[in-house]
Amino acid sequence: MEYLIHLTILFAIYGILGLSLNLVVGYTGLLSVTHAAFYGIGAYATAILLTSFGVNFFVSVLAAIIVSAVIALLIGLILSKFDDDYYALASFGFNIIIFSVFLNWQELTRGPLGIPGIGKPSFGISNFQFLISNNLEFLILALLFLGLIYFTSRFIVNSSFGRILKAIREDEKAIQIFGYNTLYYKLAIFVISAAMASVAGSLFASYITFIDPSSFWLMESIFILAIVILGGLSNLKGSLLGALFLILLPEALRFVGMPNDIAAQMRQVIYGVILILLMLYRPQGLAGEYKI
Amino acid sequence: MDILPQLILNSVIAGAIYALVALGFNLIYGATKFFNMTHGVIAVIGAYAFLFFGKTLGLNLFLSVFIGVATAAIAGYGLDKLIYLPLRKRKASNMALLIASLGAFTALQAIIAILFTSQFQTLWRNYSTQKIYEIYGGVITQTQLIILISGILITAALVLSLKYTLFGKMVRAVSDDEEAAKIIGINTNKIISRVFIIGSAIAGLAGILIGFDTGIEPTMGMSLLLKGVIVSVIGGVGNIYGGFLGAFLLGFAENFGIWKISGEWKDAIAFALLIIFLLFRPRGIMKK
Amino acid sequence: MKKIIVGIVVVILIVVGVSYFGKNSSQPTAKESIKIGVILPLSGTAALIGEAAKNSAILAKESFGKTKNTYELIFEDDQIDSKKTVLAFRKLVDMNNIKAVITGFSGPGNAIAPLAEKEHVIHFSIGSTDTTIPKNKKFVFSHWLLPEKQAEVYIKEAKIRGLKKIAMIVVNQQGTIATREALLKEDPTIFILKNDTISPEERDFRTIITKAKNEKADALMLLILPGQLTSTVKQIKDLGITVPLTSAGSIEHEKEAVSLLEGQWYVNPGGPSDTFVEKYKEKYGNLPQIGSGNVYDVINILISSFEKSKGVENVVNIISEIKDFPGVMGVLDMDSEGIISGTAIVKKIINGKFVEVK
Repeated sequence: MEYLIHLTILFAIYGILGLSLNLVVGYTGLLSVTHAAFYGIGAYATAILLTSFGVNFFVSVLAAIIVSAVIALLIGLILSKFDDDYYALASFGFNIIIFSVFLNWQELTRGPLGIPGIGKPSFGISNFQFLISNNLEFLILALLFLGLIYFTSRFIVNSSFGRILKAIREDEKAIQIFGYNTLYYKLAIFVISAAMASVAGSLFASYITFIDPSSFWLMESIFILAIVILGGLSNLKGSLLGALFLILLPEALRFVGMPNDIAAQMRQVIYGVILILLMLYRPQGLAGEYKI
Repeated sequence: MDILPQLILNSVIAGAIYALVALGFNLIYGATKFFNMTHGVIAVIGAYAFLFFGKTLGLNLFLSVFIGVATAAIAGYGLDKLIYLPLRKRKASNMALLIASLGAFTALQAIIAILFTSQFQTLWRNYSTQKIYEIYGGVITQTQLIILISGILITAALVLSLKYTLFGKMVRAVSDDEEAAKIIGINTNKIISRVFIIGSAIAGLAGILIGFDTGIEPTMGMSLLLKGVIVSVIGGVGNIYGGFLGAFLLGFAENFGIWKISGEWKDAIAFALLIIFLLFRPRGIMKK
Repeated sequence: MKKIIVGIVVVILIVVGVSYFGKNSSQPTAKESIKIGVILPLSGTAALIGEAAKNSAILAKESFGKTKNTYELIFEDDQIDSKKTVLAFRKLVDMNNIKAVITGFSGPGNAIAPLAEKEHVIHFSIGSTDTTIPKNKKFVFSHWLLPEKQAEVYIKEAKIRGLKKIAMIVVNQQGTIATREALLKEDPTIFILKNDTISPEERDFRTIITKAKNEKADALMLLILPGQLTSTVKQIKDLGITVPLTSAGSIEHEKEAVSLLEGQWYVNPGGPSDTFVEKYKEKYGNLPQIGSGNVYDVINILISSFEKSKGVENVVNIISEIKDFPGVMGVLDMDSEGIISGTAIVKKIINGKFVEVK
């Protein structure tokens, strides 16, 4: 049972990551491969605030959002100078630079030693204190956050703001002619998306109770991108499906019996082949709305 | 050993390695316009093919190199035919190609680990047979010299053939505008297929030479690829000559950079350079 | 769209179904088999260490001999990613009902320790010098040389040999950094390049070696990872450096490097014993890696303890009182913090063999 709870918590965290990235990649058409950086900033902010300063979890989530948003603003400004392939490449670069900071700025992050002993969320008013003490309670919290982010995303996407994003994806020049300042929109959604990713990071830090730089490497950004694409671009439910699929797949493979010494590598092979097959035969992703 | 000449040589050696990896990558990018994430692992395939034939089976050195390069070329050709071509036919976007190449990279790397184990292995049989040369007070090994010379020769060959041969002109036509090339009657898929073969062969050679210089493990493909990508952008993606120069620029920036700053920021330097170039000189150091 | 939803639901049902039936079916196959979970990096960049550790675990179980109970080792891959380790742990506890678990490195160790303590699963952490892992936890133990011990032995030997200016070549990883810190604490004056580190992915050490030569170091100290040793040593030789190459814990990684290191001295955890190395080489054709000996010992400790008593609570007490246990890493004693720290010894490579220097 704990196993399933654990899987669902991971689903919630990656669901948030997938949804937030979809807003940027699927709806606005910006191929950002740096999402793990904001995920990491959220995680580290919460980790540091909880372990060194005893700050309340929810306060740390807010603080993390602010830090992520500011950094996203800077990065977003620089990225806005690029289009298409170069955008992806530059975002790659930022992910690696931020990862380098996590790894090497040892005074702040303890580098490869990581930060252990991160506490669980608690909240209270005067005498009433509620501490999340078991995984089921954490799951409920995580699902609440997921729901919050999902409905926020839906609101954004269905609003006129969202329509402009889609227009930017289809043809940026055309909409600029109509007088829209596309830079503002692209920047705004990038920052919002980063803030959401940072929430996922805060949840992650508190759940696993230990973080180190290796969780926020480039491959993590690519994994989140894969969730979005597999789920179906510009389809919110698709991102949730994508997260579900990519989390369950390695687990399902775990139960497929394979000779001991090559089992782990075989799973990687199967994982890679499935990605290829999906691209070949179902490129519109699981939810199938926007073909890439 | 004098310091400055050695630093310069270190930079040149690093640059030569990056150049070899970037050459094939650039060529393929120029023709297909997508970032082929399998490029690194193709180099690794070449290296391991050499390991098997040259070291395990003990075949003749040159024959083994040939087999290694050929294996890499075949791998690249296979990937194109089985995966990238069908995707291109369907007008799939670059994102789809990127994800597919990512899947291929993951699978291939794991297959190599299954076949050859994850252990670190060397390609040379005996360290003492390696020659070392002294140049102006700095040291360079025979393998490194070969890497440098190969890089120069291959770059020259590519640049010349792109400019003067019919094949080269067709490749450039496809690079500039695939649709237009099709219209004037070029069989673009066949050209791209050939480009994959050549690009992958160069990658295979790079893998073998790097294996001789440093040694091999199944997971070495990713970092090779990343450096190749940076170099390509600095040089101007698709620009062969630019990539060659960009490689040395990166080599110098990294080695002189960490002379002053601490060694751990090497990767950050590389990617900061990437972003600076993207910002101020997106076409690369060469004016196309 | 509907088809896809149905597809996903089917997948979920399969996973849930398999897990439910898997749990029940694991009972009849082994009537009272004691299951030990081993979570290692079996793919990814550290696969060479994980693979070797797995091989050693299998070797340990096979070599143990006749036992009252049947034991089963279940391996899971975590790629040193703590969230994957937690996933694997959950699966092992819920589906396989493990009584004990072994993890590798700090991240996984740190992530699992509180969970194991809560679930009353015996947890042995390998490959981490982080003492917070077993600290104040009854069920969590560590079998890894403490960097302080290694530092003490190293500095003593360095002084005996009259070294005054040792250049450090250090990789940015938990274990090597902890070793460096212990060395600097023991004697900060004897080292240079104290703050320079290298990325774990790096294979080009030429410039940092050039830096060391520039500073006129009288010896080099390598604190690097498996996969980097041969490259580093080769580059050092290529650059014509003749001063001693020493290390604390990084020398025995790769057989390719051995011939290049003839005559060099270094400090290593005592062990693994020659008999173990020979046995490993005979079965697997390769040298074991760092940590292989430790995993071998842990399996032995677990099996012998479970032979004495089946209840986990009793076994924990047995393990926490281990004294003079014959392990391949030497004679093992458990200290009050739950750590088997072992001893550090000075070794030299003589005629291609790792020989202890008395």
